[in-house]
Amino acid sequence: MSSTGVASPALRALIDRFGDRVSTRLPERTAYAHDLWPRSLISAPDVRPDAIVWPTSTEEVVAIINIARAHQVPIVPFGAGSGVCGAAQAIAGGWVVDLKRMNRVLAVDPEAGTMTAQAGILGELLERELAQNGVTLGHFPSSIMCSTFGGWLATRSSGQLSTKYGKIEDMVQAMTFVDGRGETHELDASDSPNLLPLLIGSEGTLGIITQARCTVRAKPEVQLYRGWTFPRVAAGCEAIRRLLQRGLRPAAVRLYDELDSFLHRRKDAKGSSQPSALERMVSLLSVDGTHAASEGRRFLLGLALSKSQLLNQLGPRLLGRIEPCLLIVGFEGEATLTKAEAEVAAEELTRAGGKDLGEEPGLDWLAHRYDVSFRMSKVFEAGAFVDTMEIATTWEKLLPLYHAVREAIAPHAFVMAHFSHAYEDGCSIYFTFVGRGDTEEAALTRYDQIWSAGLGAVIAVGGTISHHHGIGRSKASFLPAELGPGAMRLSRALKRTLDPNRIMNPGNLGS
Amino acid sequence: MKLDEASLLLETSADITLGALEKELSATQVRLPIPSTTPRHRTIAELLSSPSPADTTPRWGAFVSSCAGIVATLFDGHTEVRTRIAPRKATGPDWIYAFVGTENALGTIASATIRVFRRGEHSELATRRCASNLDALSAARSLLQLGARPTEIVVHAGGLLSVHFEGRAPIVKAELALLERLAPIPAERSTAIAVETAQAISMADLSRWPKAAQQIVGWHLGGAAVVSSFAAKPRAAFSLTFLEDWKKAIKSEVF
Repeated sequence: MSSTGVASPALRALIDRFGDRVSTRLPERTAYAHDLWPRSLISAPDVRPDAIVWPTSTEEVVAIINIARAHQVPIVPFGAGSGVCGAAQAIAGGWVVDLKRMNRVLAVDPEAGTMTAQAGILGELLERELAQNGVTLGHFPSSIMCSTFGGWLATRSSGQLSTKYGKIEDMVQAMTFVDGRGETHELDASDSPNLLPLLIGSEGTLGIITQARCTVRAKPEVQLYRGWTFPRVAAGCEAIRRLLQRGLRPAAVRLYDELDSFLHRRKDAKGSSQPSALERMVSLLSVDGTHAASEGRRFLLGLALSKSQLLNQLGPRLLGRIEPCLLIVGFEGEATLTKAEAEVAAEELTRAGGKDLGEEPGLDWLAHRYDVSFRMSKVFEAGAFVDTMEIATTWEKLLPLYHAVREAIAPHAFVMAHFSHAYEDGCSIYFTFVGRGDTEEAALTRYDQIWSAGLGAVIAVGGTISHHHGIGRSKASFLPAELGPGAMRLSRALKRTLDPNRIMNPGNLGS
Repeated sequence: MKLDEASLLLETSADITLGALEKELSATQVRLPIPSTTPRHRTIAELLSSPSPADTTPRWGAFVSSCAGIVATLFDGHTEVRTRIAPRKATGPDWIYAFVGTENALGTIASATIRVFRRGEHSELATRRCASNLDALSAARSLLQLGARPTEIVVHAGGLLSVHFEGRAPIVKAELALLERLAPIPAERSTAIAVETAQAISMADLSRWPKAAQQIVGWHLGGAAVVSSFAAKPRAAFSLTFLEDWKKAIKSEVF
């Protein structure tokens, strides 16, 4: 609706078809103007969507796309808005298509090991319903409470137990997809050619995923999680590589660098659970572990971050002598097999120089692994910003990549990392950085400098700029360097083929 | 051929045959993730551009999923597509699949980087007798759904089930225990079948492979696909028009 309250012909057509399932109210347009991209938390975007619409079926998604095409209105598919790359940001206005009313589990077949669900179901609700049938998808992102099945597919999401269960693209067997021409496709991984890998991860730029069938597994009989320490990051990485390449398949493998391990240890010593490295840092800077007054916390955090370069340099050197790196390793599944795997893993880790800390650190991580996504605000409240950079590469390049990115970010922000999502051929590195600026403008400049320096280092070393968060708007300018001119040509042509009107999520994925 | 032993990645020209590549790898401690039944005269380019559902192992999945990267030339004859090598990515569509399975419609694969795996330190071949072929299939499916990761599974005529495991000895032992729980009766011809199957696995000689009633392939992380024919599914109508439309769009691009 325009500022005069008069609906455009496009909006009238949408309201005629969907009635009160279209909203043009300012609070909703404001709420749907961005996802959890930290840049938009530093400074809220100026542009809002013109309307939000809630379809309940694939046919209704087709209808929305057809109306949008006829009137050349941009469309932004929206799950739960937990993305951190700005992929669901309506930079050109238009309509947000919120899929959360397409939230049913359509079939669960434990014997065949499959389930089919609509795209808008929240991850936690999906897992709960699968559990009632004795099975699990095995996909447990930290955002599981606030992300959707369709969002996982659209971004090539990864769960925390991906080493055993795979990423979401490894689980998909079939998918219903409405392209930007309004055409519906039933795609199956056994088709020849298999087109699913060309549509999974397309971040709403080619069409909308409305439902999918995935592999499910029996719920694990046992979960065996333990903590280990290694003297330095390099020794821990080598131990993980040996574990994976000797055929072991842990569910979770997480190695924290010296700084991140230090913050973990402080949490353990306090006996209270702090959900994330950043929250732990805020806690660390607060008086006697409780939250000091807002201004005091702001001052302490500002002081610490103004010395971030020094902290980044001294931290690993000093902590390296007193604070070993923490490794969490977990196995789960059928009891006999899982126990055998855990025993062999313990032998390997001991041989690699690891020290066994017992079950407590592993079980503590397991119990609190979803706490992160809801607790970011305190860092922003304290006048700083926080973000994460999840990159990946082969084992051969892993440590060079870790050092290069760390050095690139260090002049601008306090930085720490952990290694997770390990495979036979390589591993992901998850950097967390905290920075600040005296003004909003200065904070944005600092934020952009960090990303530019960090991703520049990734490209230079030969890693990939995203393991599981996706590209969105935040990394779009680095996509040509990631893909190269040949794949960029394929990408532009695929966009023209499936979305000739260029209405699907403009500006996303560099489109 | 270039082998990165730290990352277990093999970079190879795509025109080499599977047999020739395995011969080169025989001096190393690594193996390709492909079943013994795949014809060794096929080239890597053929295996990727025209994959068969039979090129799948229960442990590593479809052979194409072990392709970590490619260098391909588009149909215009000069545009090179070179994908970045990483264990997994979330950087949009997987462009490898513009060439994998598309039978050279968009271009040809010049070289590929393939994930290879360390040979198991311990190897066991078990044969069990089930009441029927269906019971044998059911046991095989349960075995995978419980988390066992055999390198090969074959259901022979008469409900005979052959399963090949390799890896660390305690894990192989636990996997064998699972198999015995699911299919308790050892096959009376176990010795003969074991010898024949072992020879087939090591020598990749199809003439020595016991006649399979059904080959179980297409296992996807505990899924239940059973393929009794190796013929690929006919191409869907959408796939045909899609590839043509995409090709036209690539052609029309002006730099």
